[in-house]
Amino acid sequence: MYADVILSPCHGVVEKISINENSRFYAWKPLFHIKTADGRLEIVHTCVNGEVESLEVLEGEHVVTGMVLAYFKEDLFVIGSD
Amino acid sequence: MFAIAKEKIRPLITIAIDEIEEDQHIEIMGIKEPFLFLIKQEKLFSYVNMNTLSQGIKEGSPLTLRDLLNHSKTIDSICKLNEHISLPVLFQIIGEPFAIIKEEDEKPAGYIRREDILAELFKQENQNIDLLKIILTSIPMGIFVIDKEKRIINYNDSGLKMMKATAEKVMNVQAECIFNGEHINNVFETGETILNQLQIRDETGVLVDYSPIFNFEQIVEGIVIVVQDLPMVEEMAMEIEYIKDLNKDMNAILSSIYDEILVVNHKAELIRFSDSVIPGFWDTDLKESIGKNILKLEERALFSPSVIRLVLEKKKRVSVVQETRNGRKILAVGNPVFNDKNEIDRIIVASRDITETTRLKTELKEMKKISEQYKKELDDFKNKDRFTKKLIYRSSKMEQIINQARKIADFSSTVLLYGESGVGKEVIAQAIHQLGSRSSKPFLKLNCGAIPENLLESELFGYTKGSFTGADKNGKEGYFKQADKGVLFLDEIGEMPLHLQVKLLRVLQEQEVIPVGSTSPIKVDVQIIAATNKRLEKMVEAGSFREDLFYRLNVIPLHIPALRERVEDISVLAFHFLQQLNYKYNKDFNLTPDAINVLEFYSWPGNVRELQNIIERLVVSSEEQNITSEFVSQFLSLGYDVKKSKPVITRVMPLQEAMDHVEEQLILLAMKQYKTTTKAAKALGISQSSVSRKYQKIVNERSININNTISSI
Repeated sequence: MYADVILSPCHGVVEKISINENSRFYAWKPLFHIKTADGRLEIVHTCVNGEVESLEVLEGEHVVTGMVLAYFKEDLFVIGSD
Repeated sequence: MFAIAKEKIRPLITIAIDEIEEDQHIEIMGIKEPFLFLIKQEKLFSYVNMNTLSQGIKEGSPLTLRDLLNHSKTIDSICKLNEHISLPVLFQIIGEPFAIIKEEDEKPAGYIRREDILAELFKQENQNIDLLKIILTSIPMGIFVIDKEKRIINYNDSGLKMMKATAEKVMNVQAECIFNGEHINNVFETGETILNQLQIRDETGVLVDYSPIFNFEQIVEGIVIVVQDLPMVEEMAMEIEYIKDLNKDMNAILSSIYDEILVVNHKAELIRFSDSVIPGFWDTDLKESIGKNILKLEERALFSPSVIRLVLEKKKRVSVVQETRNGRKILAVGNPVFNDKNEIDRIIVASRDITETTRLKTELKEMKKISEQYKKELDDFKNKDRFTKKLIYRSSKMEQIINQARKIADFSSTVLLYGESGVGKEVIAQAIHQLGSRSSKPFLKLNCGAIPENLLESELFGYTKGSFTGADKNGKEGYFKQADKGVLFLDEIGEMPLHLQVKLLRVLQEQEVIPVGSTSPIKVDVQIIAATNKRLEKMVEAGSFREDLFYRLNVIPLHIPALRERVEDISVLAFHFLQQLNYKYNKDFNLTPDAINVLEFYSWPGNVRELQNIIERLVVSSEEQNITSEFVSQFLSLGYDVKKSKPVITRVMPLQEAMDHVEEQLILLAMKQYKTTTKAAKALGISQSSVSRKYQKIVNERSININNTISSI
C-alpha cells in the first residue's frame, strides 16, 4: 500500500545516507546527500517526523528526479514544532 | 441370439482361379448374384462386387482374370456366421455388404446380404431387440444425433453421463445449448467433419467430434456428435476454471490495490496489463501495444521519468513518482523477476495515482498546523481568562491597574508595586506572571521582611558546598537561580538590609548572581517584581534604602489603591469571598443589601485581607443564612470608628463631592440607628423632609449598584 515517500529532487549520485531502515527521523534533519552532475550537493530532508519503512537506494547509486529514495510512515502525533 | 431363415441364405457363385491365366477371358454374363467369389487352392479367398465390376469394365470388352482380381476384395474381413448369430457379431455385419454362412464343419454354405440380415433382425419382434439402441449404447462414447432443425433427436446413455445431463434436458433440445453452435453450423454449411474439439464447461470437460449425416443428394441432413469422456481433460478443465476464477479474483484484488499493472519481458515488450489503466497516462490503447517495446511508448507517453528503464539499468526494484503533463502524480513501482540465470525475465510495474492522497495529505498537514495553532491560542486565552476571572474588581481604578499589568506582562521589565498592606500586591504580581510569556516558568515569592537578615543572602543567591556550618553539604541554589526564566516576587522590599541591596542591585544590573562562598557568577534571566507598603522615596531620603536600587526597581511603578479608595470593589469582593466559603463548607450564606452597605462604609484599614477575614468571621459566626447589616455591624465596630475618627479623605477632591459623600454616610447611619426619618432628622439636626428625600435618593442609587454587582457576579 501507499506510504509516504522521500523523493530525489535532482539527478545525481547518492553520496551519504543518514538513516537506516526502521529508524526514526526528525523534521528538517538531513537524510540524503546527493551530489549533482555540476558538483552541487543537494540535501534531502522532510518537514515531518516519522519512521523509515524501507530504503530504496544505496550510497553511490545514481538517482533521477522523482525517484523514491525511501518510504516512510509519518508520525500521527505532534512531538514538537519549529 | 436368433436364427437366420434358410431362404435368405444365397448360394456362393465361385470361380476357381488355380488354372486360369491372367489374360484368359472369363464369361460371367449369366451370373445374377451380386457377388462372385474366387477360390484358390480350394479356399475362398476373395469376392467381387458385380455392380462395381460392371462399372469398372468397358462395355463390350472381354473380362479377364486380371480384371476380376483387380476388382476383388479379400474375404478376411467378411464375417462368417453360423445359422444362429449373437448380437456383437452384428457390428461386424454392419461394416461389410454381406456375411458368409458356414456349416457345422466350417465350410461355407452360402452368404446373406447385409440388408437381408438386418431385415431379419428387425423382424425379431418378440425378442426386444432394438438394434440401433444396442449399437448406440454399446459404443463407449457419447453419441448425439441432431436433425435438420439442429435439435437432438437421439442420444446414448454414455453421452448423458459424459455431459452430466438427463434425458429431459437433452431430448429435442437445440444442440447449440449443449454443444458448440459455431461448429454445428459449420458442419451443416460445409459438410466437413470437425474432430477433437475440446469443450470445457463448469462441470464437464470432453472431446467432441461433429460428423455430418448426408442424404442421397449428398446434402447434410443431420449431425452425429461423438463425445469422448477424458477424465484427465475434465480435471484439467476444472483446474483451468479454478485458475480462471483465481485470475479474475487476482485481477480484482490487484486493481483495487493498484490503479494499473503492466508486465513486460526482458526486452521491455508489453506482455500483459491489468483490466484498469490510469486514464490519460498513455497516449495509445495498450491493447494495441501488446508485444511492442514499452520504452518507445514511454518516450511518447505523457509522463516522466521511466521506471522500466531504471529497473533494466539497476536490475533491482525501483520506485518513482511520475508526474503527468496534466499534473497528476503517479507512484510507479517496477519489480524485476529473475530467471534461473539471474537475468531479468519480467518486469512488473504497479502504479498508483497518488494525486488525491498527496493533496489530502498536504491539506491535512495544513489543517493540523492551523488546528495546533488554534489550540495553543485557545489554551492561552483559557489560561488568561481563568486567571483574569480570579481578579475580582469593579472599580475603574483597579481596571486601570489590571490593564497596566497586562501591558507589563508582555515585557520583562522590573516592576515596583506599592500600596498599603493587604491591597493585593501579590495577586497583581501573579497576574503579571500569568499573563506574560513567563507563565510556564516559575513564580517564586520571597518575603524580604520574613527571613532573618543573615539567611536572606544565601536564600537569594544560593551557596556553594562547605560555605558555612549547617549549610547543605551539596550547596543550594538561590531563589534567583530557581526562578531562572521566570518571575521573582520580592515582597517587603523595604525591609531588605542595606548590604544586600548592593548585591541585589548587582544582580539587576548584571543579570548574574554570585552564590555565597563562590567567586564565579552565574547568569540568570529573572523578571523582578518588588513590592512594598513603605514610601521608598522617604526611605531613600532617610538613607535606609539605596537610591540606586530604588531607581533600578522603580522602572514600572504600580500603585495599588487601598480598598476604601475603591468602594465599588467591596461588594464584589465580599460576594466573592462569601461564595468561596459557601463552596468550601457547602453552605448557602447570603449578604443582605443592607449588610453590603455597612461593609462599604467601613474604612478597611487592613484592606482586602481584612475584608476576607471579616467575611469568614461572619460566616463562621452567623446563625442564619441571611447575614444582615446588624450582624455585620457587630464585627466592624462602626461606632468606634465613627466616634473616634473623623471622616477620612485621602486625596484632594472637590469640596462638594466630599460633602455629598459625608452627607450620604450620615443619613444612612442615622437611618440605620433611628429607623425613622423623623428621629434621624432630629439627630442630624435637619428637617424630616430633607432626610426623607435624601435617604430615598441614596437607597435608589445603592439598589441600582447592588443589582449591577449581582448581575456582574
